[in-house]
Formats: sequence, C-alpha cells, structure tokens
Amino acid sequence: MASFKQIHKEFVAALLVPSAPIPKGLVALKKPNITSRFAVYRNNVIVGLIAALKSNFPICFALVGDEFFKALAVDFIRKNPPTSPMLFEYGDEFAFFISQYSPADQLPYLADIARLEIMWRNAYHAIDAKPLDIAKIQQIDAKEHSNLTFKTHPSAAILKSNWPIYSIWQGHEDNDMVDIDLEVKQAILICRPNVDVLIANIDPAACIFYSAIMNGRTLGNAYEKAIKQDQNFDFNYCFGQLFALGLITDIAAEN
Amino acid sequence: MSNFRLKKIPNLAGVGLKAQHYKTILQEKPKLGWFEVHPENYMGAGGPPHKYLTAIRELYPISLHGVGMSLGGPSERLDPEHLRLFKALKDRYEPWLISEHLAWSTHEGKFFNDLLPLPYTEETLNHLANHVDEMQSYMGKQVLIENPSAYLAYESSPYAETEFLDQLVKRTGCGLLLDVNNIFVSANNQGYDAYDYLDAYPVEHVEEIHLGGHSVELIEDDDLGIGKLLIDDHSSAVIDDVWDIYKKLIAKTGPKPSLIEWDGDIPEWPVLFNEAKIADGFMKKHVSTKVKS
Ligand SMILES: [Fe+2]
Repeated sequence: MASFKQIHKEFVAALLVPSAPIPKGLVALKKPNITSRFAVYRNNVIVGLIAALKSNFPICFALVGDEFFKALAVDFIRKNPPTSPMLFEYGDEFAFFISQYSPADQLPYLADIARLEIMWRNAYHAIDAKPLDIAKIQQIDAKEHSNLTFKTHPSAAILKSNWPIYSIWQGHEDNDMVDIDLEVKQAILICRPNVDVLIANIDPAACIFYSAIMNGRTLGNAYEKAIKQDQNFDFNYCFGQLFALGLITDIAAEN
Repeated sequence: MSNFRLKKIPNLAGVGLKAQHYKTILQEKPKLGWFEVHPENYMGAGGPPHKYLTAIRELYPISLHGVGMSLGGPSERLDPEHLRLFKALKDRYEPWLISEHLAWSTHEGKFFNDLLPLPYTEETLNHLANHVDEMQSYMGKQVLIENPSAYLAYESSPYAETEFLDQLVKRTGCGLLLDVNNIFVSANNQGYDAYDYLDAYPVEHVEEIHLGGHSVELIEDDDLGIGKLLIDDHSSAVIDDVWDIYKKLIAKTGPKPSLIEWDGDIPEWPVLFNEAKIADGFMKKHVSTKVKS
C-alpha cells in the first residue's frame, strides 16, 4: 500500500479537479460507485468554500447574482485555496483575482467592492480599543492643538476608488441600487469603535486630512495639507468626525 | 489570562453556538447545560465574536470543538500558528472539554474545509498518536477524538475504526467523542450494522456525545443498484433511527454531555433548543428507569 504521505497527495490531487483520476484503494460495500462517492468529498469542499466566500463578500454576491458568483468563486478557489482554517478571513486575494477576471470586465467597480468588503472584515475582527472622548481635547489649551498627534484606532482604514464605492455600499444596505452615478469617484473611511463597523464617505481634502492623522502627522500639518487640496476644506466638521467615528484612541504630544 | 473559573459541563444536553442566536441566548438565558464553540470562528483579535462569546461564557460552561487541526494530516508537526491560536482561546475561555477529529483537512499549507478519510494502519496510528500527544501537551489538557462520517474507506485498513480509536486512547490518554449520527451515516454508506459498531466501540472512554442531522442522496452502486448515500451536513433535525442508537449508547454509558450539531439551514432558536430538550428527556428517563430497577 502507498505510504501515508502518498495517500494524502493522491487524495488532494483529485479533490479540486473533477477530471482528475480518483485515488486508488478506496472502497465501500462490495462494488461501490467510487466516482459518485468521491464526488461527495469534492462537492463538500467546493460548496463549503463557495459559501465562505459568499458570506465574506455579500455585496459582490448581490451585485453579480448566484450563477456568476459561483463560476467566479470556483475559479478563484482552484487557484487560491484557503491557507488557514479561519475561513472568516478567506479571500484576501479575491479583489486582485476579480480585477484580472475577464468575465467581470462589465463591472469595473467589482474589485474595489471586494476590497471594501475585505477592509470591513478586517475592521470587524480588529483588536478592540476604546475611542477617546472629545472632551479630553477640549481640556487642552487651544494654542497647543496644532501640535497634537494622535494614536488612531486599530480598525481604522481608508479606501480610495475610481468608482462610487460608498454609494454602492449604501445602496446595498438600503436595498436600493437604482440611482448610482458611475462617473463619481469616492473614498471611504472605515472604523469599528465598538460593535458596529462605521463607513463614512470622505471628499479628497478630508481623505488627505484623515490619512495624515493616521500617519502620525500633527493636527496643524494635517490641516495645512487638506486646505492646500481644497480651500473650502471643512476643518470643524472633519475634526468632529475624528471623534464621532471613534478614530482617535489617545493623544500623543508632538516630539 | 482568563477571567473565568473552570466550569464543569454537566451530563446534560448542549447545542453548537451560532452567531444568529447570540442575542436570543443573552436575552432569554435558556435553561441549557452548555454550548459548544468552533474555535476557528473566534481566532480573530477582537470585535463582536469575542464580545458575545465572553457574555455567553459568563452564563454557561463551554467546550471547544476544533475542525481545523488536521490531526490526520501528513506533516511531521501540527501547524504551530494554529496551535498557538487554539491555546490562546483555551486560556481565555477555560473550556471544560476540548475535541478534534479522526480525520485530516490540511495539506501542504492548504486547508480543504472537510474531514477527509484515513486508512487505519499501523503507520497512521503512530502518526495520529504523535499528533494527539503534541496537541495535548501543548494545550495542557486531554483532547477528545471524534469518529468521522465517511463516504468511502481505504481498502487496506487492518484496524477496524473502533479498534483504532481504542489503540489511540491507550497510546495517548486521549478521551473519545462519539458522534452517533456519524455512526449511522458511515454504517449506511459502507454497508455495516451501526449496532455492531456500537458493540465494538470502547464506550468506557466516551466523555461527550454528538447528535446531528444528515441528508439523503440516491446513488447507483454496481452491486446493489440504486441505494441511499447519507450526507453528514448537520442541516436538519436528528432522525428517530439516530435517537435509537443514542438511547442504546446512554444505556451503556449513563448520561453524558450530549451536543446537538446544527450548522447549515440554521433554525430559529426554539427549534434547536427543543432538540436539546429531547436529548435531556432520554437521559432523564434512563436515570429514572435505573433507579426503579
Ligand atoms: Fe460531530
């Protein structure tokens, strides 16, 4: 009989490829239909992994429908089987795969929606941290504010896109995708200060402002960069949003 | 480190914990013995899964039932990262029981998300025993090993599955988790008698019992014509034939922690809770008939 290692190798070779020969030495009853029985293992693996992708990428699924998603998922699974039993994080390469997948050319925004869903999941499972109350800032002398730097929430992330990703996400939440203008480019800020993952639509100046804060720049420096991008940058609103979204977890004074 | 004191799982029914039921469980605090948790779903760093599991663990004892350790896998050692994450959950939540499967699911770093079959040979036994030893010493705790459901078996398996499990217990000191539905599914699919399996099974090492549903497909085998192939999908209620094997089992072992596994087409909470109450009913009846006789 084949060695232990050989047995696993033959089994795996047949598992993801329906046309591959079935491993030798398998039995059941006297003269079993080995092909149909082995098909159960093949089916369990592929159906289970399609379900995992469907649960990790619900918006992509809603956008393309059952049949298209299945075909896409099967191609992806054969190329990128999971590398860990933590299936809630399966699909890190899904966005890139979609961007190279020609049947999805009609839906050029699909890859960025997959990116959004990967970021949503990362935020959901990120390590917990308590957001800072805005009152803590108000206790500091206003003259010092521009020199402040901050620690930001471990779940916080920004995604910039050439497509209206916020509107598509919102449309999926509200079950209304009708009036989305595909010419609009959007960026989003994601954060999970407590239980719920929050997503905000941010304009280019706000995007620069939040990025600078997350990169450890001073408040004054972040403001300058943002106002350079857009003279009408609304500092008061964006400053409030830092705390409303739970983006700030601590103050770290400028070195 | 854990905020929890070790809490014994009573000889009562429990159910597999599902995210769909978190809120109902915390609101209603149902009278139930315990919950079983798949550790793979709680290996993230933070967020709602840990928040809910912490709140539920405050009310109930739990078990950790792994599906991804791949004890029957071909590599020399178990995946160190997976061991580390599993142990961190054990330390954090203080489960009363830890279990894994007599199967494999990982090959050269790829995870296949199914419990795949093994030949029951001396070589496999040595290999399995090493992996069970490694897991138990890393966890600092006994691990229970569960019998698989199978659609095919390896022809050259000098050990019967029951004998193989008995040997594994002798060599490693592991305990056993007996899945009654898996006996029924495998017996049907491989043409043996479920009660013969039960008679041969080393019931004295059973620390936990699993109950679950399966589905039926038709298959055309060459010798028997069209027959039934049972698929272990945990997507329905436990059938009477499986309850019958369960009754026979607890007549031998007495009441044991008995888990309802329902992983697909997950029902509303009351349906799942009712399944647990059926198991509790059988255990109660067993105890009272014993007292009378
Ligand atoms: Fe089971």
